Amino acid sequence: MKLELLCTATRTAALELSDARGLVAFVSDPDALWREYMAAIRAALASRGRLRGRGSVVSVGAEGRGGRGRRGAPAVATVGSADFESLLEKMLAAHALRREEFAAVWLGTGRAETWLSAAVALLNGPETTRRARGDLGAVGGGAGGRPDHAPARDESAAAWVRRLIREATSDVQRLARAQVGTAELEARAKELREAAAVKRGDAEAAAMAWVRERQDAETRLLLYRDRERELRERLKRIRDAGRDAGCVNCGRPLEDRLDAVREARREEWEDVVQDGKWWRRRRDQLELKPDELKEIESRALSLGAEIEDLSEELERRKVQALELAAATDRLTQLRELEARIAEGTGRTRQTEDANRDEAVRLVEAARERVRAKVHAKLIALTGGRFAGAFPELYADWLAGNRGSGEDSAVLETAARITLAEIAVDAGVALGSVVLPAGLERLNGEDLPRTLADLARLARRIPLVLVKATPRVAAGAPESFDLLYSLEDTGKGQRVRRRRPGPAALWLQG
Amino acid sequence: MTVAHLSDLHLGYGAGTAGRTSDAARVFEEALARIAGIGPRLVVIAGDVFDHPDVTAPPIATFTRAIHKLRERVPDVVVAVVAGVRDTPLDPSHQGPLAVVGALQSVEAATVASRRLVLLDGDLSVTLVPHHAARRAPPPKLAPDRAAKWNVLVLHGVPATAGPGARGSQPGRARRSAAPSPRAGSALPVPLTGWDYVALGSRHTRAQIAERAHYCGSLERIGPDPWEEAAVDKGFLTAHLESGEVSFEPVEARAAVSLAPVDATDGGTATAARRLGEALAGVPGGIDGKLLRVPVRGLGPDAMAALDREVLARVRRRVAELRIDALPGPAPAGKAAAAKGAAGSRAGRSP
Repeated sequence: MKLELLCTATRTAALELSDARGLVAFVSDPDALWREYMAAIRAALASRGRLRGRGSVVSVGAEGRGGRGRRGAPAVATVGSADFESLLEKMLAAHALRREEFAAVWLGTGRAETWLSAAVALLNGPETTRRARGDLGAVGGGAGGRPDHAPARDESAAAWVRRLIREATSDVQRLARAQVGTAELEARAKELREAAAVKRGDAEAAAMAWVRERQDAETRLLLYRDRERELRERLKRIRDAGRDAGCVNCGRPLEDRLDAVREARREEWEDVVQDGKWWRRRRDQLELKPDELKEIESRALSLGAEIEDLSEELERRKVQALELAAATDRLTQLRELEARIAEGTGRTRQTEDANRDEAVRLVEAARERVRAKVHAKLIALTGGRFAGAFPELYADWLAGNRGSGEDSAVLETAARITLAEIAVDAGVALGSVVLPAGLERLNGEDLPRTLADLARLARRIPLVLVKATPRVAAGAPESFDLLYSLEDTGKGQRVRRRRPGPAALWLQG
Repeated sequence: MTVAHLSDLHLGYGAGTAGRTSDAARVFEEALARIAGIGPRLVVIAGDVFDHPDVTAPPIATFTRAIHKLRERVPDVVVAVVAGVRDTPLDPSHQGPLAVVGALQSVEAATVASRRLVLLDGDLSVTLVPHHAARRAPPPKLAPDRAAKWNVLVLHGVPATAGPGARGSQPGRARRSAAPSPRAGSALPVPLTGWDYVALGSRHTRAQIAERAHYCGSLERIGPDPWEEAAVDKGFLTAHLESGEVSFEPVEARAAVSLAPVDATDGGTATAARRLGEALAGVPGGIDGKLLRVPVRGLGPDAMAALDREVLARVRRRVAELRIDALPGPAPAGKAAAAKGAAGSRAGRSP
């Protein structure tokens, strides 16, 4: 599914991606519009074919693995429309993926367990996945879920499903509670973003003024030093030559005007030395960042940090809202299953146990393979810096602890790239993948390696769309094939696109 | 008439990272000290002076200080600089950090538009084409100054019709080393006739593209894979315009060592630690202060974590940059014996 157009539910600024190929970044900071894009496409995906109004557009068939050789025009559909549902159903059926698993691969949504579940299903293949899911139950942890979701040997299928229902009910209640107070948080975030924009502008202006002033002081000081050296040499020449010293203007010997000229030069030299000292002190004063600038920057930083925290919280809540919908669906399915079991349609206990054991073994083996792949990717992105911490980091991440530090950002990015690679290896005609966040939290060492890795991924998937801050994009513009950014036109904002990287030179002759 | 040609200084590279914060500054200062000894009338810097356009004060101070020292020894030198892609802000209304250093005495910078400098009473003409001007449409028309005795052209970009061995190697461009070069159709036409020297920047390895058209390469091994340039000497070029002779002047960049894979498929952490120890002991000149790459084959995440705690953490403290590669599975047949703990397959040379 290649993204052709990404748009929001309300704004007119859409991302036209029909001819976008390779590693493409949407560059913005703050990222309100990007979050609207992501929220709109997630909501459309969750609408299950009942989308009203405009939506993002995808194409299927022209791209993807082996797609270049296919004949015929690609199928185009709006995400959330009935046509899209039909295309999605075919893709999900072909790879035995669940809807939320496909969303995890395509857009990076959902919990770590969902990502893992998707990866396990893709590694095991559709037949094995379907069989394992059938053995572990039509719902629940399934082929990619935690093996401990499978029933214990001494637990009846009915008791197991009842346990899953209790867990799902608890999930629904917990996620519903987490949505309380979201509107207030959104209002606060908007307020802070406005304040931060003003403060950043102040900081930029103050920093420019400081650099200019310091440069000016440095230049003046150099000029005074040159002048002082020149005068000193002139005085020395006068002293050495005595009355025969030549006048600078007419060249005639100074003779009896020697003392007057020497005195005048000495006074001039002393003036220059005094002024030079003043400029040296001025330059020294300006060496360090002024307190006022530090204070503005510090305030801008603290506002930025506060906004980041709030944005993460809001993002978490958006994800949780989608999880709430999924958990509610799951609860409904579990209740249906409970009813079917009660009707006595299950298989014999012995066969079920044997099949379940085999399914658990397959799932466990695939989970271990996914862990090894994420590990290798994390090592590649960090040069091995997190090799020692990986077991704890990975366990934490799987447990749902998504931190805000660089370690969790790079682990999540590694897992995201790994998942996309597994999908491509499994023959999923992805067409595009989206990395909605995280690059800005990578450190200076990991970022170039990650961009190089994403660029390699973009040779296997036609469009890899990432969200980047200006710092990330300006720090390695040659990594990207295309950059989108917002531009103020006076009448509003429009999306501007440009091809970054060095110019091509056609050397002739 | 001698011209010194530098490019891709990337001042500010490695800021905020552990081992390489001062590398770019150190080699730049060394290069300018060497240039001061040669005493050219013209120094050209063909772009990417800074690592990114939002550069902080220390790299600007480094540049300023080094130029000041050069001027003390070569008072009539002119330093002509073009903005590269890394010096150019994404926002076209900003000129970037070169606008600041362009205000220094003896420094002439082209940040957005092309410029022509006429020096030595009209004998020497220097045409500067920064990144922004090279990318804009319609492209600038490049022709030598007929009235000048010598014409020098300074450009930042990649060749559209690159041949074998003429591929880019710069931060973030790892995949492009395998990708085709940009097509000539969308490229800036650069007629080479009439120029006494064409100084190019953007590629990190030295290359002669045509007669009198040269890339000098970066001064330091930088980017996501500095080991790619392990066997390439780093430095700058000096061109003698009368004779057409071009010489390479090396500088002492970080040495890069890439070990052969340490194979642990038939053992565990202890085996890997022993073989790694043997491999490290066999590195000529030791590993201290170098860029070290260690591929490890056949260790799972938990064993690798143990190896990191027991061995790699100590190695990391000794080197400027350590990169571990986790390779899956057993070594290819026939290569296993050679791979077990063998020392550096590629070791960078320092002049």
